[in-house]
Amino acid sequence: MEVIDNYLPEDVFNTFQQQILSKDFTWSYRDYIVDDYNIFQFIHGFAGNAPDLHIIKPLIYKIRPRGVIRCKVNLRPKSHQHQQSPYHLDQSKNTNHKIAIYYINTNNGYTIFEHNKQQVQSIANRILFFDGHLRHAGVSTTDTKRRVVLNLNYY
Amino acid sequence: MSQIEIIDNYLPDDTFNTLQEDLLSHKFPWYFNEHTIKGLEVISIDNSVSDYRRLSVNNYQFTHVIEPPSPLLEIIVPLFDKINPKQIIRCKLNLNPITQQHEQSPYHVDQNDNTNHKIAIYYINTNNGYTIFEHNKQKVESIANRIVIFDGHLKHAGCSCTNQKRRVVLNLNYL
Repeated sequence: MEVIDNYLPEDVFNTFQQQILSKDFTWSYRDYIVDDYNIFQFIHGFAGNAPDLHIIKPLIYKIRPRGVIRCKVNLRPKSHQHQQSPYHLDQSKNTNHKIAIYYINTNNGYTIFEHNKQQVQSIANRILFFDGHLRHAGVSTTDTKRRVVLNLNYY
Repeated sequence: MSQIEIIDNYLPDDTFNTLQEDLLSHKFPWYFNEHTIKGLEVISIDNSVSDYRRLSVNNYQFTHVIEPPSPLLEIIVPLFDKINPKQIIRCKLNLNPITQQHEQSPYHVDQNDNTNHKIAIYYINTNNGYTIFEHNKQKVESIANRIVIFDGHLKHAGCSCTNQKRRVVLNLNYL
């Protein structure tokens, strides 16, 4: 796995962050995370023809994937204690791909890997790259109103 | 009519079920609001620093203001038909995620400029959150398909739930 801080130029990141965290950005409620119905999150998917695709173009252009399998943003509201999702694979049928997790805001939530328990803290404009076969989990924030990450599955 | 009127089973079961299904659906879009009440960042319940900090980090909600020409208006037409307002000032859905303890918003009126209107709060799901009125501390529990109707000048507050993942209410200001 690879962690890169200050991934996008500051002004590009600021615009990116502003749009995703904007009060005009829509979110869909999901009553579960992975297969755990005790926790929940809000998501925003970017389909190939989405009118707001322009928001993520700077990131996609920098990553330069050969193909995008799925791109979505996850929002988990603050919880009283850290809540970890189940360890999971993003694509269970075929793990021959890459995953990028791009952190939109700084908070004390984190990503954790099952095999070595390594934690990657949520730092705004940080990106985490890893292979699709690595089981991982997301952990909620307790010190900000929300934890927002972009999750990209790609080749 | 008394100042505060509560009506249970407001819509017929089948109408309510359809409305609830649509509003709680994963297809329904929500917007994240940093502040539940305008100006909250500069006030607090008792002006203490600790309350200010607590409110600052917990003071948020998901909302959706439904206004023409939104196709989502279709969902709530049955409610409008029953309330039969002369004029709608604002129709807003509020979603408050579960909290560890009940979190109460500050008491407020919905429209600061003119309180000569009615407010209807329609409860979309059942949970242990509630609406509370400042003048008599009356609590109205969140029961699905319940409506509370009161005068716009009555200061009130919403309180989050601790036993469901979300508390969802529809708030209508009207004449």
